[in-house]
Amino acid sequence: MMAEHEKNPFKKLQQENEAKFDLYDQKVKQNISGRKDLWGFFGELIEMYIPRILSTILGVSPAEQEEEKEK
Amino acid sequence: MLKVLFALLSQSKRISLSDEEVIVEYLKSQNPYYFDVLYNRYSAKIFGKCLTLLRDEFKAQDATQDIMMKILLNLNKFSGNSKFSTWVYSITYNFCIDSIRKSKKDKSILMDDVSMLSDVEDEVSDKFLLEVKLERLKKILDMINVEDKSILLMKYMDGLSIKDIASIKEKSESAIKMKIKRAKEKFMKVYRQQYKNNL
Repeated sequence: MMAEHEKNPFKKLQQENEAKFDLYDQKVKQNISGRKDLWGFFGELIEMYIPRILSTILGVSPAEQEEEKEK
Repeated sequence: MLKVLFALLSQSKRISLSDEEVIVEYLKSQNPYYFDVLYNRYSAKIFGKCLTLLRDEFKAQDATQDIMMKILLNLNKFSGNSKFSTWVYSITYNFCIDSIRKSKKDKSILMDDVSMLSDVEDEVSDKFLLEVKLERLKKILDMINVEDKSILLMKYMDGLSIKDIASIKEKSESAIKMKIKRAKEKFMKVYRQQYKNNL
């Protein structure tokens, strides 16, 4: 008896297309990894510089902001 | 030796985790290993669907990357109301449909003008669709519009329930039943036109 996926042409089509992914797998993996690193890098940049930019715009130094908070 | 054994045991435990458990572990630890597990389970499936919808291997490759990134960046938004696979397919279908709409290259939309084709008197049976030859299926899917195609793929390729399709399409269940019926009719009309001498 044939399994359902062997008979169903929609599932056969999906299997056929999935098999083609072998050619692209490594490249996709590498690109995702590169993009993850880039996101992480921008995340760190934002974390580092946003307080400084905000304080410049507001005209208050980060140290002064801390002092204000303590008061 | 013991170290290797421990690593293997730990890995097999991770692999046996359900998708939802993998997500919880990933969100808790941010360990990229857990995302790799999800990548290995879904990337080929996503690519397969993108290829069916976009009809171009390079576009499908780019789409797979974008969709995997989208999944990664939105993992914390996965509510668990549906199965993780349904959520992934939802992102995949919506991404491809948007991409086709943006590029306005869905030439198959021409096939929306079905008035020139013969009418389908009877309801198209599931049996008919599930027994179509693969080459014919590919040809017909390439000729119907992406909305109808995606509905047919969700139902017959992914085996999604009406409820799941309704949630992906953000429509009521009765609207989805009607959409499936119409998509099947369009499929049949195009099929009859293409293979009228060899049904």
